[in-house]
Amino acid sequence: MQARPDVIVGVDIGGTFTDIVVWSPDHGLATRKVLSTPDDYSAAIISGLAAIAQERKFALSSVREMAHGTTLGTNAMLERKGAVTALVTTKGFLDTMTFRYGRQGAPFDFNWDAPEPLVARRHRVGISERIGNQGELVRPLREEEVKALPDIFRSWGVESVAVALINSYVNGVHEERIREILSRQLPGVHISLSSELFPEVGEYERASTTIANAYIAPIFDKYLSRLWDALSDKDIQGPLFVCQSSGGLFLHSFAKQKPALTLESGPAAGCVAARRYARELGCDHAVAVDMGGTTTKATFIEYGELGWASKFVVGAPVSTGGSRLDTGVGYAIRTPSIDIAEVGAGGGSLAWIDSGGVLHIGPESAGACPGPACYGLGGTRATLTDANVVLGYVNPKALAGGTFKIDRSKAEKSVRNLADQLGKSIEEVAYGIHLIANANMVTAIRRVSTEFGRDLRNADMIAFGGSGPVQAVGLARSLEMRRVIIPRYPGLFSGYGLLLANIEHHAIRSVVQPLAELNVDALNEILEHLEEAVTKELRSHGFPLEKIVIERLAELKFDDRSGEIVLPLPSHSLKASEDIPQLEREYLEAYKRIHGYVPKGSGIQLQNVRVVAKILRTIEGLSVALSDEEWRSTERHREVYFGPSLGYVRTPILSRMDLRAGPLSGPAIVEEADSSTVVHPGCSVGLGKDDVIVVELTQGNR
Amino acid sequence: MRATRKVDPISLELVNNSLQSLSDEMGFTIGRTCASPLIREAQDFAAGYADSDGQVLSNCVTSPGFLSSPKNFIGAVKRSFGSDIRAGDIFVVNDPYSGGSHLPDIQLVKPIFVDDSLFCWIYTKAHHVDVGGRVPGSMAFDNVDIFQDGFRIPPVKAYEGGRLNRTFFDLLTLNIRYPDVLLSDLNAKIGAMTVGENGVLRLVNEYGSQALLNIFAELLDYTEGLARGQIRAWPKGSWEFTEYMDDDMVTGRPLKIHVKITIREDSVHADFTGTAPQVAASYNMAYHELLRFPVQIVRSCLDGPIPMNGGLLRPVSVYAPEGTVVNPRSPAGTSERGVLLGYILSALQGAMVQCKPEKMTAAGHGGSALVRIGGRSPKGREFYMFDRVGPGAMGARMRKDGADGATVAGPNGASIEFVEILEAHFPVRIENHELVADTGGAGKFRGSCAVRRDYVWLGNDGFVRPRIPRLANAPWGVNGGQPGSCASLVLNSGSAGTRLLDPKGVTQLKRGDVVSTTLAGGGGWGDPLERDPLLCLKDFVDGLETAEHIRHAYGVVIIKESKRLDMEATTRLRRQLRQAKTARSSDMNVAQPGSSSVESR
Repeated sequence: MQARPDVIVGVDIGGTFTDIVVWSPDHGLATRKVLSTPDDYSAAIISGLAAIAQERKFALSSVREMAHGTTLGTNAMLERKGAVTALVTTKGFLDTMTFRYGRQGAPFDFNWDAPEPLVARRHRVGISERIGNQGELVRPLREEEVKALPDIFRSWGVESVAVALINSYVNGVHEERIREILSRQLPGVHISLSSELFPEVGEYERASTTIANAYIAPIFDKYLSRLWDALSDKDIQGPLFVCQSSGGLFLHSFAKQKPALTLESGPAAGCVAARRYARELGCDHAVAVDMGGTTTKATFIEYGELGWASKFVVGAPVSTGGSRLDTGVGYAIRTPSIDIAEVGAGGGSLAWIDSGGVLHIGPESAGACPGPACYGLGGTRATLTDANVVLGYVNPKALAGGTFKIDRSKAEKSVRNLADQLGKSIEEVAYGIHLIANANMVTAIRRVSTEFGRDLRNADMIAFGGSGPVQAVGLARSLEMRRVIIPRYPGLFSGYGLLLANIEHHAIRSVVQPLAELNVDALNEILEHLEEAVTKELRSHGFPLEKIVIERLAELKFDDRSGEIVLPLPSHSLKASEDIPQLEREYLEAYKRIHGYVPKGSGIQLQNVRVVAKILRTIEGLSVALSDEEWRSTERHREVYFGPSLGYVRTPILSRMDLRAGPLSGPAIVEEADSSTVVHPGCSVGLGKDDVIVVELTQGNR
Repeated sequence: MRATRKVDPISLELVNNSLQSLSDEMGFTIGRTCASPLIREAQDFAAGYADSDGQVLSNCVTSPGFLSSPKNFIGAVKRSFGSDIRAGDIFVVNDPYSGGSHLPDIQLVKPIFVDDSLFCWIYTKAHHVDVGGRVPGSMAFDNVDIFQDGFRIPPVKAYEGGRLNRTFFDLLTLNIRYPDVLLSDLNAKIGAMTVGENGVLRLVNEYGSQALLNIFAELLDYTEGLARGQIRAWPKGSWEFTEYMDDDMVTGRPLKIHVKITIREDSVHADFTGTAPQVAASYNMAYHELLRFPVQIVRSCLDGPIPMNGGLLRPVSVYAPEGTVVNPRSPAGTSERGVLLGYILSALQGAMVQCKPEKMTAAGHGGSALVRIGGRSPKGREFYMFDRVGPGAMGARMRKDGADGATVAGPNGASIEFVEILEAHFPVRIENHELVADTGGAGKFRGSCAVRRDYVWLGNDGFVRPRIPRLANAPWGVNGGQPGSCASLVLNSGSAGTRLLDPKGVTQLKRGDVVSTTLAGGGGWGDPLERDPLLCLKDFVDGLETAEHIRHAYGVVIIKESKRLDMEATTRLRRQLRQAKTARSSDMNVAQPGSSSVESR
């Protein structure tokens, strides 16, 4: 056994599967998909990791670091299994999280109810105090009211407290005093302060984020402590990182304090991996498409950078045609994140016929259990995967390199059931399901591209997730895109992305001042202070100063409209005469690029400044090149259906390795252990850098 | 139904998805490129496709209910221009008597030609910041006619054969305030229509023009079929309701809205005979706009996803006598018809709740509520704040309470502004933005609690111009449910100089004055004595009802100190209250529309 301390690990926990990706220069890349263990998620991680270690013959103690993505927080919120949480807010504002944005989620359905707030109204306390919008004291904090709280909270069984006062983003002194009083009396109770976690203007979003943080913090703390102990038991000493919604990693000790930053960690890690491919392959514009069992997610990558969003929503109902214009349900989370659009269309999406005789797909999903009919786990209703089996797009006998059996006859039966009702052939209906699912997925892609004036015809598609490679070429075709890239390990992409992610610590401060009236000296002071704070965080955990890369960012907007634009700030102290006019020019250019128009008479406002301290994690020699050990299908040809004009076509079944010989013309199916890439007639398929599959589309042959 | 389908059900779904996604893209383009915050932030705009007859094929998600107007303004264009409708033309109209609604809503409509024949129409509509007239913003209750409302545009060509019509733009820009903003907003709409045009031409390429026309026709039939199929199973008969708007702005008396809904076989007819005559204030609503509201209510009674297209209008019809507020003769003004809108919906809801109780609610807070505060900041800067008070209150439902902090005052994308953002921009401080206890109408299920929002004035030379519905006419309950509380408008509540604010006009403010607005609470549903005591207890511990109110309104006794129910005392009290009620039951069996309770089926 080798003992070189050089093994790094990426682990992505989902509700059903835990994906483990391990890399070391001596042993190369190893992957494993194991069933998650919801009672104690760390159990699956340790046993899966031990199995890989045994197979690749390395000692667990040689694991140098581990990066972790998890849906733990999101699941706790959706299943309402978080801590008993109390809210302390300014008197007169108990209902901020009930009012949300004041919009109705379902305008025609009077029986619709928004998800219940995470803190029951009875557990919200209004305290006499008030800070003005300049940070000035309007009414002092009535400390006796706060001092009465510990007893009350104990009687309620409160495990976690969120403190979110009006205007605390400019002055957190009352929030800090409240913590001081409470923490002394309530040892072991987690306390989240809005002014410390997310000091941004907008009381609902700040409170909602703080409450979410408080709600999941105790579970997160328990889980990460347990995992850390389990790792220590195996002599794994290296740092444990958790992925944030921004795609950057932070130390698990910070994740315990700010778990709200991790809510989108799984999808974010996949985006990070897609970004690496976009950079390596020189794609100036790319859409990353992640198709799972229930939903499809899309994100846009421009010149090697992921689209950025200042907030997202947890728990909004997934729709088949939802739009960005329709917001305001679910729990708003205001943390730096990747801009990801999601629609309810995935491999498990169910096909159904309405009373008017029209075929629809999703958003209801068969999930992992019973799953598609062809899994033979008791599902009888046709899903997208069943249609793809009928069409010959997916191996009709087995998935996952032969370990998971597929029953084609059950898939056929489920689709025939619909075909009989519609009076059509089974192929026609299966193909219809395939096309309608693609049309739904198009919505997600348009939301991150054309809706921002981004032209897809010059963009590449990077597709991953279980169903991504199956749908990608057809999808690209309907969007008039030219090139589709299927990276290695499309089914374990988030785990792989965790190996690639950088370490990032963010610090933010609301400014909310017109650019024209900016106090530049005060701003420089704020930036210095933020920089010092994040640098200190990283240094206190042993990262050397010379490895820390600092980025300063400004979020600007017009004073009479929403929609911030993030721009980089120079690293030096800002000069009023030079840097501010430069910032203004850059803002106007960016605004015009996105909106096509610059309004007259609106002032520019500096909303927030942000400092990001990064440590670049470059992994020497990380290679995902093909090896001879790859699984391959025994089948050489299959009848595959490509629409009514072509019908069934005898189609070669290839492995990725077969593409080494040079590009081939479609039709073809490239089958691998974790995915199946469908290459339509008229397209060509070959290998690119890092052994990615590259499908070139020629337009006009729809 | 299925046997007669001429079009493949898969293509139907694909084209429907495409049209929806293209309409949303048009909408997003408007939201992204317009200059005015009203359009962008409040999302007060529409965009979509109509077939050659003007029947809506799809709408962008901001305005799913914008189904009846396109047929009217496209009809007006066709009447006006006949054969002089050509490729590259863009028509513009805002006159309520030619298919418009109120003058700030300007519609643009573009004919799309394929093989030299009219294939379909693309339209956009947005609420623009000013179209001239007596007051800035063009909207005021006390505009006595449409001429005070602003610049009227009959159907004209803004573009002719792709060329801009200078005469029109010169006339327009001379007659309005802030022409730059209007021009950029119109350009945003024109840009969106180009996106829409390219999109539909791609579909023509893909499917062929005749096949696509067949799919359009089938899409409308499909929605109509889904709607009629469900209506067929509804109870048949007629149901009437009278609703009263607080004040007609002319005589100071309540303004009556009467509706009778008749359901026959598979269609719904709404007759507004008995509604008040038109008024010399801007509260009138153009007749063609009226159909939208029964359609909206019918949609709320339908189950499942239904494509929102013109097929939904076919089973629904409406009538109102000429010369009423809902079918006025020119030159009646319409600029503030948004206030009337809430009451029209409430009247329809009151009729429909008697027929489809499981889909409706008791009355809510009554529609769009605004507080407009202006003046100078301490530094002397002039400003005008336009704040939506909200969210609002929802009436109780047949099987559950009205949702607190929700509203059903008609689909409206507008959001409430964050307190911290208002305070960062205006010399006001917001206090007490909270639900108010004991305001939801009692019932087996209670109406949602009223919402309060107080504004502390911190500037100089201030004034306030409120627009708050249901200050006098409380939201009605259903089946013995009690009305919700009335809205209120108070100056300096709780201090020595406290007084009611003038709800119609302008009130001057001095620094430190507090304007307290409380919207109405939702009406209740069912006998309060049948309410589950546990629900009362929940409201008590949640601080939404006091023990005294619960005792009085529900006959439920709560021991305050231990937060427990006294079930014995409750049974006793409820028995007493029931006896007292039976004794005067003869007064209770008639529905008192507009004041207390409606009877549902």
